[in-house]
Amino acid sequence: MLGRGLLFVAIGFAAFASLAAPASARRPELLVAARRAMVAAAIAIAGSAVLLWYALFARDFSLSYVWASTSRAAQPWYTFSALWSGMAGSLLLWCLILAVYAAVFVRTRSPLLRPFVPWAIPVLGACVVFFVAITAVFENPFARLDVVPADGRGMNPLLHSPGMVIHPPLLYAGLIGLLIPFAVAVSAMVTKRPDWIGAVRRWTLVPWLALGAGLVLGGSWAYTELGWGGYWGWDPVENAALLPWLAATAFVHSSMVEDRRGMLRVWNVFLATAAATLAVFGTFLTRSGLLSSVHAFAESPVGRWFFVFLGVQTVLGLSLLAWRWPMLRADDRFDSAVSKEGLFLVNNFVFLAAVFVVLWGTLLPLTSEAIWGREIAVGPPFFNRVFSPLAAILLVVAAIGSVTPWRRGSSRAIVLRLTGPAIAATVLAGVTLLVTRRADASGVVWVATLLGATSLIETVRAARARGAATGSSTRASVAALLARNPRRYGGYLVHLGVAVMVIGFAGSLFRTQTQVEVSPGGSFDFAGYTFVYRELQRFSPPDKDVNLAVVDVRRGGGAIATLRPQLNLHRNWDQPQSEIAIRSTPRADLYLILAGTRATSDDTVFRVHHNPLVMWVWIGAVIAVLGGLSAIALRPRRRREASTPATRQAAWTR
Amino acid sequence: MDALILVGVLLVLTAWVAAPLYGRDAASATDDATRARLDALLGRLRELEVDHASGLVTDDGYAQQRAETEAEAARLTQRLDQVDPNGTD
Repeated sequence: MLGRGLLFVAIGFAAFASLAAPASARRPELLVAARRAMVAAAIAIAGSAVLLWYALFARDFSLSYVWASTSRAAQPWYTFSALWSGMAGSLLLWCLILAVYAAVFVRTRSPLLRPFVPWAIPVLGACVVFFVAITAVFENPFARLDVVPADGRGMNPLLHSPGMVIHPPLLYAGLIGLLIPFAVAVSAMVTKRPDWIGAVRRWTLVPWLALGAGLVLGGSWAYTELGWGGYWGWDPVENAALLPWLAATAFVHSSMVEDRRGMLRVWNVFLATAAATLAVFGTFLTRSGLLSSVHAFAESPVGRWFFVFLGVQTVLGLSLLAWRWPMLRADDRFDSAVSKEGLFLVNNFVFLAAVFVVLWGTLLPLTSEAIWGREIAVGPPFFNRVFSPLAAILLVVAAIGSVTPWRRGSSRAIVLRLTGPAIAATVLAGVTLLVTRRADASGVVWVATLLGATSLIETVRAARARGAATGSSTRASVAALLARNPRRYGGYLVHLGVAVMVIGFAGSLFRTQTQVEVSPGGSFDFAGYTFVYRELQRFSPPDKDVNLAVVDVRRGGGAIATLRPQLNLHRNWDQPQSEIAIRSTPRADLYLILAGTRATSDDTVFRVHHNPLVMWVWIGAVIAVLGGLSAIALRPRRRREASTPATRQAAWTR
Repeated sequence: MDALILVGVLLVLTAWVAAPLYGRDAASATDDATRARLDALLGRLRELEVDHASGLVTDDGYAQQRAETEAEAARLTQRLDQVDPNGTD
């Protein structure tokens, strides 16, 4: 009762904040009270979450959610992550993250952001009221069972992964965080202040980075747990998280144009609305059971309420946009298409096309059934065929954009600056073509190298220029550049990481796999390796029956690894689950699955994948995240330059 | 017992939230936003200098953008000097 009661307390405080904040124009103290009310709502939701965690760790199986999500044999980490392993708990986590975001946001000290707080609070407060209400009313995580079982069913075995501890919170932090720029955009429209973009920069980068990292972690989880050999399957729920990330990436780029040139104002309000709406849409897809997916929760009544919320959010955003259209006129005009802002616009159109393609493909089963009466679905081949050219254009545009100045660039100068990266890209692509005889792989290597080399060379070039002016070393100058302009040079690091990831993606063109049945003591050859099946071990811990195969991997006569894949039968779930054994090297992954065993003997079916370059996907992601963190965490080193007349003058004349 | 705790939490949080309604508003008018904008402009000037030195921006482009940035910065500086003649430090 206490846990659910705290949720209703949170609804009360969030509702009060939503009403009090707009009234603060007449009574300023109401704004202070509204801010505190948002913090109080967060405290109440955190209290509710802590109570559910306590129930999970205390194995209080009188709660239906605890019974369904954990068992006495569960390890502490999986007991912790059980909070978000089911629909009710994951909604509670959603509410908690939203409330924490809102509480931190309303306490902002940023002078640029503070004017937007009074009208952003009603938006965030309404979101808190909505999400907490559907949790408390339709998906109460504190619902009790009539009879208390001795043990719980436990979490779905597929969720027994270290990634499960981090991936959902990170993904939610990304999706939910996109509501903050939306709330500020609404506030800007209501208060007629078009200068919101610069204020919301960090509040956009944080969810954008969290969502990107969450997507990669999700890919890593799929790769190591699901046992189909890949990390991205264009699953509807994967797509649902990708869509807001694509819109947010477009927004991250176009917001720079508005910040710098006072242009694309309408476009930015639209993108902030689109990113936030797609974030809620993604949650709607996961929660409604509308589309089947390995990630989706069972069908639930909350789906229709999400649909209503989506409608209100979209109508609100677009109505405000229409209402304030005259205010959103650009301060300036495009001087030339050959300019950074011109290329950012191209980048935005391509991102929007990518959003459309993914949305269309994801919803096709629904739309086709509604229009033609039969369900048509598209799979990875469709998405790969349509998405890949768009991604290639984006990489090339990003490379050109890195060497193009604001306002007007010289085509000749741009070509000259791209010559070095283009030569490097052509050499690597040529080598790839010679070795693989695959034009598609060669093309991927070309665009990725062009972007990666451009990012590196431009950073070094700027560092040298700075070093020449200040007398510092190139390494010190790189650090100084990053500290002085984290947005640009953090961005180059992100581009470099993306380029490395794309090289990793190219490896998927050369995946091979085989399936064999072999007896202990037997062996088989695949992809230049010899696999010697040493033995099958069978044992039974409290919650499952384990089959563990020991397989030695040899190459050129020498042993290089021993792999131990498992096939487990979880008794409470009555379903087999594979623990995949992976030998990962920069060149390729060997991915070994124990697919089945004979009941009467130890003969075993193995599925083996040879996945080239997968490690580079993860390395590239780490580089990109570091770049994103630099852009967020480093503050430009000029904070106090405008504090006093003396420092203002000094900064000016330096 | 649960009901008692819930009422206690509700009362404590309500008292904390409502306290500002019975106190004095200590908010003061400052021109922090202008100061932040001026800082951003000065940062933009530094970026422009690096771009010019590395050859990304031509001499003409540099002169034009520098003049525009300086004009905007001068306007903001003038405004700050008027509202905040002694500075905040």
